[in-house]
Amino acid sequence: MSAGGPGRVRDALARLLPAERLGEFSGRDGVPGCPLAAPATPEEAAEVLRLARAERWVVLPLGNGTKLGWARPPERVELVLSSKNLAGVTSYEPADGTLSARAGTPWAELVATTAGRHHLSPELPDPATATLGGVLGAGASGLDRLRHGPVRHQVLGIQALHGDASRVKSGGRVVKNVTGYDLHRLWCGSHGTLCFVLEATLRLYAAPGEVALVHLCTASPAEGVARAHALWRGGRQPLALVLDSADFAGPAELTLVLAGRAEALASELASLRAELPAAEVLRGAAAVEARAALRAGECPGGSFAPLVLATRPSLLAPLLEALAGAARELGLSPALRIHPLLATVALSFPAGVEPERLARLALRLAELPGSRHAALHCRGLGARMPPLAQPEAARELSLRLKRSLDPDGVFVAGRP
Amino acid sequence: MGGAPTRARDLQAELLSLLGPAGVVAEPTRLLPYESDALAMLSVRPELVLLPRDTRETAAAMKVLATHGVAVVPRGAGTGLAGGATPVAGGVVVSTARMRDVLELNVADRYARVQAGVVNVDLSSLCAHEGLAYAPDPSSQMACTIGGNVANNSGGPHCFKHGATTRHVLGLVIVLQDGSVLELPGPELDPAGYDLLGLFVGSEGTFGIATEVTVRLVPVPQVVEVCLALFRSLDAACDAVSDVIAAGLEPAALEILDKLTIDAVERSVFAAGYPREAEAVLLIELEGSEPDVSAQTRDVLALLARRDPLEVRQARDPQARKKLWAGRKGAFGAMGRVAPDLYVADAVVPRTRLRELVARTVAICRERNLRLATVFHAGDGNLHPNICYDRRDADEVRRVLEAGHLILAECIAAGGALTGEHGVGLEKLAEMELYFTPEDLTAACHLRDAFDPERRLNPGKLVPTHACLEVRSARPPADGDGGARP
Repeated sequence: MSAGGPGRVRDALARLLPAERLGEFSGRDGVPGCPLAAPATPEEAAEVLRLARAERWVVLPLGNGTKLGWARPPERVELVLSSKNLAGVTSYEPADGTLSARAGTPWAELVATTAGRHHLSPELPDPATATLGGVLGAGASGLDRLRHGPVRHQVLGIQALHGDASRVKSGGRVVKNVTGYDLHRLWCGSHGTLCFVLEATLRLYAAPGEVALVHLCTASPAEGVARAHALWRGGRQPLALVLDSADFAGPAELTLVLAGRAEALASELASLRAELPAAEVLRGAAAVEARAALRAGECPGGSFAPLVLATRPSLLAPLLEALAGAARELGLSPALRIHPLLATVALSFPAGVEPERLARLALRLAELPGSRHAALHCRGLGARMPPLAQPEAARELSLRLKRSLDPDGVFVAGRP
Repeated sequence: MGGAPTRARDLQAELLSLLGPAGVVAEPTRLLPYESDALAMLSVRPELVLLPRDTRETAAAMKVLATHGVAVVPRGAGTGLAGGATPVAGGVVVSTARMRDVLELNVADRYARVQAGVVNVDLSSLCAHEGLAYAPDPSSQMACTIGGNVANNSGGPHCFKHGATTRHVLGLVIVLQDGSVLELPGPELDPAGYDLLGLFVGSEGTFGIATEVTVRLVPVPQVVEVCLALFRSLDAACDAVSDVIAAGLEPAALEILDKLTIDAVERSVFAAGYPREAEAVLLIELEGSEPDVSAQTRDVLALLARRDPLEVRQARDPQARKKLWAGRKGAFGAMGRVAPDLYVADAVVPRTRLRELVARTVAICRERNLRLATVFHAGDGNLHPNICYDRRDADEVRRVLEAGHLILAECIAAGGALTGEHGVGLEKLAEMELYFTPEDLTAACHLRDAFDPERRLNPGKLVPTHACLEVRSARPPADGDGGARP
């Protein structure tokens, strides 16, 4: 903790920024409350970082905090540096298929800017509250990951401030670029430990002509997984394929999101109807509505699933079995959101489940047989998250990178 | 190598004991091919070449080289066009040429794990039997290696749709400068911690030597159709590309060849039957399901018609498609008929400014009395102005380098980038300071500090040396006791 505590931080910030750009972070996801600065220009943000460096304060960069719980709480934090006043689209080039915006821009504004002409990836469940900088910092992905990949694949370039307040660019604004190191790939998913993002450029995809959803009920998640894999082997390439179930044993609903040119979609639907005669097909407004509901299911009840396991498609069925056993032993019955082709399982729990039980389950999952081929991502477990299953050499290299890029420890540590 | 002949002999003997005679090249005549990569105008002979067979041998050799403080130049097949595998001050080349095993082909999970020296096209051929493909397909794919592709984040015509190498790498085994082994295991979805994979891909051998690579495979498309349009002007071809992109069509590839290239192709064994009056060829490849490709083709043909082509050819069956691609695939080989040497530049421009920047490259070369043959990935805005020259003509070499520099400067000024797929290597070091600020380059040096504080790995490449030296004199090494945690 800095000498003088939060009061001294507030006083020093008050001499630097107008009152309307200062506030209090009330604390959440294990991060304690502390003073908050929300600069309106890159220069103001640089000034705050210079002050923090001189005073040896530890800074937590923050968008809207919707994904703050995706990483462990920082070991120490004296100041939250918010990007909320650094917002707005700076460039939308429809003919180039690129979009640049400041870090604090709400994702919904990016979606609205490109609507009709382009598809913006990732397709997030929380566009109204998520910000561009937060999505990048958390390394998020969305409903459309199967076709377009995670956000780190969409980023063409980032401008950011390092802990010494230097303004650094990585990448650029064109769709193909291998100039220099891909520092922006490192920044994506670094959870505020390396830099404060100012602005980023994303690549865009052509908006599909039409979207349709195909629903199919299966007897169990395991049957749903088998169905999904059969469709995949048959050459289906949907935008998304999702399996939802209230528990491990009950029925599961398989949903394919198809997106493309009208002619191709019509043919795909005809062939799917022949293959899955019991399936329900939604088109037009009904498809739009169902897709929105499916997207929202990535963040059920407004909270991201606290536990997500990722493996390989061929290992998904045995992993589900092992998961069911581990949950049963702890008396937990999570709802499942499975992406069978990406081989991820997100586990959601009813409100009121004690965090300790979730943490015990997380530990069990990290030790599951075959866990060498499964990665566990915890969200919202705070300090109870089990340590990362990361090879020692990778951990050491990550430490060297942190020390090299942030030698004064201006940004928070101990997160990803 | 320290300069002392006795020390050099000791080092060679130590490496011979580790790798055997097949793993160490020391005879001057056998060192010749390792003097440069495909950027032949820059060459320096290495003192030794090592050919380890696997990760273990590479790690053992790197430990010895670290002990002796020797500079190391990693090398795949040496097909790079930016001098990335060219030694700058002697040192030892570590080649992956003997690491050619496919370690695992997992059809169910659609990935392959290969040694770094596996040739790009061999991987695709192997997968084809299973209905899968490795998407990045550089023009040198008949020779270039997967490890080299990783080092350069290589692209190719089909990266317009599928993305460059970085989107396809799921895991790596890397030997670091001190001989330690870093395993970034795939193929799970997201990295645990920092995205070290994404950072490593494209680091041009300055962070370590990749010895094993896990790559994502994609299904072979059900239907592929190639449309080839011949135009009376290069402008018309560029405009047609802009039309296709603006219409929201997403072909698998969009390639342009200019007049000089067409002439060279027609006079070579790759002759594709292009008419003499054609000033530009535009190749568009479409892939997907049958109805999808049919609909895309219909729209593409309508857009092409707006630019008044001389002729449009179409093909779906593999042999006919191969014939339409023959001119493009053989373009670089055919250029050998025009001049003994070819300077293949590589820059990216915003796709909305394609026509303007292509015209500028033509003008820059014309003003310097240079012959320019342009072949480029038009869909990505990735220009490849190929300047014909004779390396024995010192004045011509000077004019070529000057033209190359001006073309890059124009592309950067237009909002483009220095390189789309060849990398920076030695060739574009000077222009790095046009594209990046001193702060950007300082950050690059900090990154390098974390991997290789002594700068023994591919020294003198990618980041201008003086930028790193200034940084190193100003701050302690990254492995100090900073105490910070990521």
